[in-house]
Amino acid sequence: MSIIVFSTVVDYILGLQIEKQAHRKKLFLKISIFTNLCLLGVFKYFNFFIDSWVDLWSIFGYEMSVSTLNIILPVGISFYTFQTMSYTIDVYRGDIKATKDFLAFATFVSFFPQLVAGPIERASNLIPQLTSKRVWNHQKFKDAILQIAVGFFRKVVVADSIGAFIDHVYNAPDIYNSPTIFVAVILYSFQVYFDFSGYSDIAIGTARILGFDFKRNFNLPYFSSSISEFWRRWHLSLSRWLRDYLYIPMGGNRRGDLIQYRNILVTLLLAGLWHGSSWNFVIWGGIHGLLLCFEKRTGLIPKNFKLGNCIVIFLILSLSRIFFRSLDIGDSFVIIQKLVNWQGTVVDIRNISIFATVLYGLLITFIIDTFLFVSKIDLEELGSKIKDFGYVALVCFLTINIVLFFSSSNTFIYFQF
Amino acid sequence: MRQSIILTISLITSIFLVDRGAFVLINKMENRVYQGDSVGKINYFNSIKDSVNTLILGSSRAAHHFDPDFFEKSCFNMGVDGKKIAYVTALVSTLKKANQNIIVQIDHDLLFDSSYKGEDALSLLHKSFENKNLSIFFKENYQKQFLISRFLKCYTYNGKFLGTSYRFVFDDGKRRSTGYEPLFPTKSQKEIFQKILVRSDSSDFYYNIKKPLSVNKKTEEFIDIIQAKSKELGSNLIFVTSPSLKKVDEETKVQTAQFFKEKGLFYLDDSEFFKEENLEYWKDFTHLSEKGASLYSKSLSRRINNINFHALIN
Repeated sequence: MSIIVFSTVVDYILGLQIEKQAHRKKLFLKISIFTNLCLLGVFKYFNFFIDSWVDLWSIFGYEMSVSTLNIILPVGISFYTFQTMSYTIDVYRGDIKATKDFLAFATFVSFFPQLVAGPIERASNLIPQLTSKRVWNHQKFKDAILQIAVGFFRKVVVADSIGAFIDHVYNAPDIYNSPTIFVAVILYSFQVYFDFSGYSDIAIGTARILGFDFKRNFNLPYFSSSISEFWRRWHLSLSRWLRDYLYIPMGGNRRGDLIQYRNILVTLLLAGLWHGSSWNFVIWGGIHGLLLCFEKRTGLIPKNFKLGNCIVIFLILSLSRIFFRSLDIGDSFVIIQKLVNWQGTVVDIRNISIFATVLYGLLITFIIDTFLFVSKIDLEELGSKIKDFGYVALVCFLTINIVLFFSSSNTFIYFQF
Repeated sequence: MRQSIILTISLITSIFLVDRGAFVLINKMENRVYQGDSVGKINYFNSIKDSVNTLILGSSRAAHHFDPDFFEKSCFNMGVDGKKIAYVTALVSTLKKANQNIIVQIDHDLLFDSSYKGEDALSLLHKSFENKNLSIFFKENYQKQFLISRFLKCYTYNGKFLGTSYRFVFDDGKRRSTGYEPLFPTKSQKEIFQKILVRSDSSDFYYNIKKPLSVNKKTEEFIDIIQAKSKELGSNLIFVTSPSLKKVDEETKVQTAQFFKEKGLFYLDDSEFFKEENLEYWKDFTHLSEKGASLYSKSLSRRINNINFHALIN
């Protein structure tokens, strides 16, 4: 709690100072970025850096005895530090005016629907909404209720049921055969998508009922025909943040191919590290960076949707997530080894009831997502596009399905970040 | 605003009505299902519970370890995967027949597990609409879930719908005669267990029970309810810890035995029944194979038949 208060107070003051003292604004911006990165460095990455440092020396035969800190990762730190940093950067660039309203700024940093797992909102979008009068809007209410219902279905029916099925495989991959591991790898892609997009839908919908418009966070990412397209559809608030505050300031694609590849790699490595203090996430980010560079280099980016590409991209994404989900790098290689040296023919389903729920949930979400993709309607606007009877029937259907199929698991994958 | 209020009322009313409709439909299907753990077994149990002489209750370790054929003809094994003492208590609260033998499988770790809240009983919530005793049991012990179930009745069928539908369509008419579910490990299951054993260290063979030992109040309450109901019906109540490759230390064993003794309950600790580590007897750390279960059931039935309950309790 004290960390978020500290971050709020510091960036509120620095935002005002950046605007007030134009000749020293660079200094204030540096202080803001330094402070936020220090918070992240200490509370999220300190033990990771220490452990990595010790491991590095042990390779050369030096055994160091360095104690790590016994720190519990503050919930949502990765999200609100990025929000406050984007605020001071935007004020520095003159994109927005520094707010004098401390309450509005504090609400922007700690607004409850998106505090723990995003979306990472921009000050330019949220602060004006916090300071202006809100008017009840029936269309938005209708949209929000449906989005929340879809979000709950995605999260508590699909993602949590998949979690109940695959957790045992990822906890001990060495004891399972290749088909079981392959199914777990594929299903994890769905779990992480429906877990996070479901949470985002609930957060965006809740904020909408209260009269606030958040930017959308997912745009049907598994309908991507290339990795570049995937990053334009996946966790949009993070990928746009990285694009606007890291990739473009480093030069983006304006300084030739080599610099662009470097920028892509650095951005994606940091995107990986943002997810967690583990080399697994760095490797995952690195793989995506290399894939993006490869796509740019070879021009393998189709302009229109291609089903074949879509399937290949999904498989590549699923395989790259082995590093994202595994408990450590050792386990990741065990899984890869099992997939390469294919053994066994039967998938170890364990609980047929959970597996049936997973398949049923995936079928319903597939129908919803395919409809959205084909009709080119955003989930955020779906409610107001459906006539009243159909709308009530759809919300009823989703609610009864949630009640009948929800899983009792209460973990959120992105809460840990 | 007016439109939104009308929409909200329409949604709540529709959800309420659809829920009622769906519940009636699922309930009608469910009442015709007598197979499968989630609903079928409880239906069969309800149909025979007040006619059999011996009931075996507990978790999967009851379902897979006690073969009623070794006990007597009129015996039913109502062990269910993932269910513990709360579930057993809910079942016992529905009993009517006097002078039954009630065998309850219980593990040491459950007695001292402070995190146990008894949520396993909630899978019987759908039966609380039909059984007054069960309804009272849930009202007293699970107020929140009880209230939700009165508004959203389908909530009581959470996780059961697909299984029920499948069984309803594909029910082959066979009824569970004994409720016993022997385990015949497949080749791949044996291989997996072998691999687990190879990479296991000594800690994997022991329950990690928090010290100092303190009995979970909720578990104790449930045991008290079972004891009171058995006394009311004049039934013979036996608590048993069945064989397991996972052990507990001596202090836990002594305190468990002491707990039941102080309550005036008969308790058998068979956790170390098998002295030799013959893997043919096991499916995994805590479940016996059919071979192991047969040997164990044979021995337990002999011992139980020789018990003079009245002499022991008095």
